[in-house]
Amino acid sequence: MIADARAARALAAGSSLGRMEHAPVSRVEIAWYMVASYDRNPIHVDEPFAKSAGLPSVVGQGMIPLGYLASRLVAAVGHRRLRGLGGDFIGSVLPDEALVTEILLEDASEREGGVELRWKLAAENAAGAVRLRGWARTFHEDSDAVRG
Amino acid sequence: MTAAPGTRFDDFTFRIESSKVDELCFALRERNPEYRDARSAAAAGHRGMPVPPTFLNSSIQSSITGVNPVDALGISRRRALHAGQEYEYLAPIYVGDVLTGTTTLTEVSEKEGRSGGLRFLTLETRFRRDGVEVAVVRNRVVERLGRADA
Repeated sequence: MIADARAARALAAGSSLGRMEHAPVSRVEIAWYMVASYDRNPIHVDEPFAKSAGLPSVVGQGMIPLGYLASRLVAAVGHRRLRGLGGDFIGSVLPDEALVTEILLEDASEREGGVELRWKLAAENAAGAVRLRGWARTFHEDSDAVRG
Repeated sequence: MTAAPGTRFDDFTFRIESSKVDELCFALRERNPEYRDARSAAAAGHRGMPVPPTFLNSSIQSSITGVNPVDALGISRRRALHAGQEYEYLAPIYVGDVLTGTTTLTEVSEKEGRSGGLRFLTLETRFRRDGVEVAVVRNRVVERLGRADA
């Protein structure tokens, strides 16, 4: 785990946490995400509605790849060190579409008491069509005694 | 309601329920035991069970105040897409915490796209616990306005 400032400083800009292939996003997961997020937009489950909105089918939430990326970051740095997260939902996630996520270290900045790392996040489908571009900030203290 | 920047919605207060965390974990295939098992969370150094980073959102207010900001602004579901989302984490939050959120329409802009006008809106929700801000969530929505000649 990239815990304290020393571990953070040891990373070179451009380092990758690796590409990860995710199993296809199912319609059941899309429906569960609606419930989990109090989303009442029929565009995620209602085919005639989605077509009337000009889409080829229902669409999944951009929040799904953002959630995968956030989970990967937490695994890499620990929950408490994640300070900011964001994503632009560039292309619609389609049902039964397998996603590939990647996390790259953009740069590191010295701050009072530690180091801030800035990360670039990306999600594509298997054909390379971009679904999400995002970012994250993590903070790594000089004296990091706490896990989690 | 017109979509004027500065439009503010009613405060909403809720408790973070473990059942909502379970739902999100299922949807995201989240396997981290810290979110669902108190002993795992304690072993990882948390003072409670934390929540996944994308747990907070502004839509919970629709079930509390009866008002969803996107609907209240008159944005059609057929013409709107979730364009992006941002989080600032100011303090750890845990299952069982009681949070109060305040949502404000902070930005509105329009531009001409290839297939007509687009309007971009940012709804910012600031969450606080015991009066202290713990997180900020920005929900960006894009609305297709259609062609001027349509």
